[in-house]
Amino acid sequence: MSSTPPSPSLAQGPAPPKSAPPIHVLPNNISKTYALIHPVLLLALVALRFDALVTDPVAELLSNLPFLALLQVTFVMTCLPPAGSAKDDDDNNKSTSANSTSNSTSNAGSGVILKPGKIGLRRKNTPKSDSGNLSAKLLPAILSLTLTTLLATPVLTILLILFGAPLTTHHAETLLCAAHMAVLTSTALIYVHGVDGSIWKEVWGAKRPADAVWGAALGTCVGAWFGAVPIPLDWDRPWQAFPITILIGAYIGYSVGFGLGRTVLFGKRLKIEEEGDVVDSKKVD
Amino acid sequence: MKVATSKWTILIANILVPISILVFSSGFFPYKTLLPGFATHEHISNGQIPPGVFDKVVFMVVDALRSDFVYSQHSGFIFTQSLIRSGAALPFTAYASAPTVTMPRLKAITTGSVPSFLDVILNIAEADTSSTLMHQDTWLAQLKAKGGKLVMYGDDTWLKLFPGMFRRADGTTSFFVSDFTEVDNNVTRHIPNELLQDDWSAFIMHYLGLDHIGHKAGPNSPYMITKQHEMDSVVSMVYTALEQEKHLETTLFVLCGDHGMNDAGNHGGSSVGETSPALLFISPKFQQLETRKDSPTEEFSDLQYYHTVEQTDITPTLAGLLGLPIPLNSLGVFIPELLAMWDYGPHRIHMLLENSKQLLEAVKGSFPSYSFEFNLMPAICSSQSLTDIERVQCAWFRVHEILNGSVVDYDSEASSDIESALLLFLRSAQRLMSSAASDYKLIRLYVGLSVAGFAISLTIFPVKRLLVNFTPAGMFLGFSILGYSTMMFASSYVEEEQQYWYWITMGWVIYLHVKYAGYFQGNSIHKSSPVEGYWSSVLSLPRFGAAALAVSYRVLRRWNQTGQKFAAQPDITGSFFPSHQHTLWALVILTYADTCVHLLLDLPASVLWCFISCVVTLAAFLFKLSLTASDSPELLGNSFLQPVAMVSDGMHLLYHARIVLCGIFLLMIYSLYAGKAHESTHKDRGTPSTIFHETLTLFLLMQSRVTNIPAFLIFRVQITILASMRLSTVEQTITSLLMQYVTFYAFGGSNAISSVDLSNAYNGIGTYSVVIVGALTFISNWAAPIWWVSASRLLRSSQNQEEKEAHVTILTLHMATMLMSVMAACTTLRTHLFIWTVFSPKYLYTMAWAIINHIVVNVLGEIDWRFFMER
Repeated sequence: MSSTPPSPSLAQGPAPPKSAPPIHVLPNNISKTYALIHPVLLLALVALRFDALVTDPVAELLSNLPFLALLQVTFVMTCLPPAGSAKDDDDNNKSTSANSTSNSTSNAGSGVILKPGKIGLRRKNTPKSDSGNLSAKLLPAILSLTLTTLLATPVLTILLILFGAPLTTHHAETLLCAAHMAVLTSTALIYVHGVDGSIWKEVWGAKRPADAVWGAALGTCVGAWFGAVPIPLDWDRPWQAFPITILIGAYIGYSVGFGLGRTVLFGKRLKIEEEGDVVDSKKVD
Repeated sequence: MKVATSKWTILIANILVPISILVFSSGFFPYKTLLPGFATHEHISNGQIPPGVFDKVVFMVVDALRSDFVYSQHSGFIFTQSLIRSGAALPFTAYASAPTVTMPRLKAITTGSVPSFLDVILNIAEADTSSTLMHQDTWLAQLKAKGGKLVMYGDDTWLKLFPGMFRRADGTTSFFVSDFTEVDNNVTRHIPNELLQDDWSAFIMHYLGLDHIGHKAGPNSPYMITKQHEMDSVVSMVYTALEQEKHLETTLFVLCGDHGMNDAGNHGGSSVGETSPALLFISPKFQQLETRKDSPTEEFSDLQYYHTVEQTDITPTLAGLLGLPIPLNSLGVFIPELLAMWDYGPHRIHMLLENSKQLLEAVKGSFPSYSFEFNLMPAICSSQSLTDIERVQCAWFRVHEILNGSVVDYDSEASSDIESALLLFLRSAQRLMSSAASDYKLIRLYVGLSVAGFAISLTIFPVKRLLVNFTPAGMFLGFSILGYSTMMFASSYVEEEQQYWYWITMGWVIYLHVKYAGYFQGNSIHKSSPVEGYWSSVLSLPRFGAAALAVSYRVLRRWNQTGQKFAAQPDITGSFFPSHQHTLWALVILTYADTCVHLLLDLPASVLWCFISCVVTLAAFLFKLSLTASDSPELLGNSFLQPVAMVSDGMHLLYHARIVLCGIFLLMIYSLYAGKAHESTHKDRGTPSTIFHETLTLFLLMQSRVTNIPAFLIFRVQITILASMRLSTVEQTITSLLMQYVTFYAFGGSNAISSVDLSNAYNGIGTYSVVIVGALTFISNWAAPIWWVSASRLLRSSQNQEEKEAHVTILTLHMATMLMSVMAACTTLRTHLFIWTVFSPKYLYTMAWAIINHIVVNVLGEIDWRFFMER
């Protein structure tokens, strides 16, 4: 890579690179209602299965995973625009022709990589297909779930281990915990962004503008980080065992991040500038 | 970032830190009120004094003799176990309360009182003589008062505690931890002769070898079983003499440990291993009691073999059996099993009664406001919830009631009633007195706290802008400080402090990742600024630097398991290296070679320099090799270096160490002399390095455990990554702080006294000297933080005066906050159950962090000494 160490002057200089705008929840009533219910549902799932989780984490995590995936798929299909259509919903008032060009130019990447030959994706680009076509939404949803399993789970497993998860033991726990976190974080991210390289670079650098999807993903990770706090306490409770608190933290973090991302922090970015320039987060739009 | 500060603020704040520590300590470390004088038999009507069953005692202390070492199936005490089976030995587990280090434990054994925490420090500062037991009532003093003579062989702590008490004595110092055999041979060689003498009343032995093996190699080392066999043969020798020698016929033989050890072989804390030493009363006479027990018994995970008694119980039991008055300050209870030595009922009761009256006096001394007069038998005794003191009162009234009620005929039923009532009183009084809150001088605690608070307020204003304006780095610093301060109030977080630093450091890595990885990606078009020299080769570093840092932290995190909860889990030094010796030594060689190469690169022109630095490095490596060969040969095992170690073993370790130290010293002098001119030309190489830093590294390698040495390679990688990131001033400071704490814990440090590593404290020292040994102990325990202070100083070498002052100000703020939070925790939790086992050790560690690591290493290290030299 050819880039230089930053000099303070560069900090203020260039405009940030063009990036995809934050994602809105689809503007119809069902979507908006379900977006409110969804985090509650997730938390209820954890609360309901908490005792079983403490008793046998591996079995419980495994048996809960399909439900979690189902909930997430339902959520993304109900509430979020699939990859490539984000622009449609964002600038509703633009003409459809402009819309399609913008898709084929700036967001071309996503379309191409997400199996460009598929009819479903082509059809998805047609205007005003917002809630009707099931298969247009099911396909990206399933794709994103597959990618989540294949890519996000290993990445999160590595991250968990870097953050101190046991390396030589508890493999099943770590893997399943990562899988849960992956489904929480990545399903929606892949669904709305596809595999657009520049967006994923933003995700990797934690530079996305806040929205429900990114807020939830970041919240999951931060929640998991805070979830580690009770482990060293000498209370000797069974729930202090390795993956449980982290998972609970992740779920709570998901809900908090989801809520904050949609509302208070919407559109703001996590930004770390050179010291002195007091910019914690700033409006993009 | 502007931190408006002045030299004076920094100076005053840093003077306030030690002042607050002094004031706080003087109020915090309490002294127990002791009854002066010596006990006599006067207050007992003469006819009923139970006659002594024995008139001599052989008192054999085996340092760190944990209960399972004697009682378990894997024990080497074969003969001793046969004595237990025959009934000639009465086995117990004696609970030794924290601090489980030798001097306080000896005080407990001899006076029967619970020692104060201050004794721990005095135990380490061994030369101190103010803590003698000369004027305290002990069973030794009682024996002597009765006209007996005492002889003592072994740990010279006894000689310091009882100066002039012994007729014959030969002390061995307990601080040369690496000596397994000489210390014990020095005791054993006196035994045959002493057993033939009939002039002594007490013959005290204190064996240290087993403790040394524990410190060096742990309780499961192959040396341990050999040492147990050796100790068993001593028991056998003494017991045979008791059976055969006429003049030893009424001699009691006591075998006990002063404390135990944890699974790492260390002690000082309150884990079950440390508090459970063995205790055996041995005499052929005990066979008549027919109390035969099974031995060996099955393993107990909690080590409570047979009946558990308090260690302080030894004192009244010994006194009773020897027919002596019980020492005044004893909190012990006569061990009931041994009451059977008196066949006559009234003797047993009077023994317990005497014990009760003595303990009652001690209780009255500590609780003058409570009355123990019988006439006001209170109604409270029937209530359910009693305070400890009320429970003692009620138990005493119950004793009174029975004693007055029964005519003194002591038939068997009444006497067992009285015995159980007396024992109930004794136990409750013992519990009360052992947990009695010590006297804190609250005023001083608050003054110490406010002085620390003033230091904070001095430093917080300059840093205020940083924190108030919410720069992310400042917020992180604030979050870190706040989190730490809160954590100090929870005992488990104090015990597991390393987890906090690992946790917060990963957060910091993410910060660096977000800041630098994202930065580069965002500005990749604007790469116009000059790309100079070395930087082109490390351009990818910042991008993946954070990831690499994360991996390196993950490795460091498992380098040493520390703390309490997870300490026994496998780690790199404890599990991986002993079974992969080739890897260990290859890495160690690589570390030394790397240091040598840096030394050479720093001053490449001079041939003489090359030669000297190569020789010194080689000598330092060989020293480490032969030290390992003699201390922990299992690490050398059958590795390829075995032959080299054999060769270099010829040289005496002491002189070898001195040669290496001289070499390092020479290099330092030379670096100051010649390095100045060269330093400026090497600014742009990747890893920051100066000759001083490299020679310091060499010294720190020498003071580190051999298994920790490869970690310095990881540090090099980390410092290279950090150098490539070009951090801002605040970020530099935060990184430096975090690295100091993370690496301290990664090297096996913790907040427990038992984790102080003494294995390198005697490198090159012939005689004990508090100052030098203390300095070497600090350096060997803080080797990694010291390295990071020096390394981060190099990272910041381009800083101007103002930035340097900002650095010191932030460090001082951090230290003062830590100090104040620990003091506040100790003040508010001063009645907490764990105050002496968790919070006080933490306070001691904070003193070391504040006074030595912060003021001496960080702040004084910041001063440019060359500036003064030029003047």
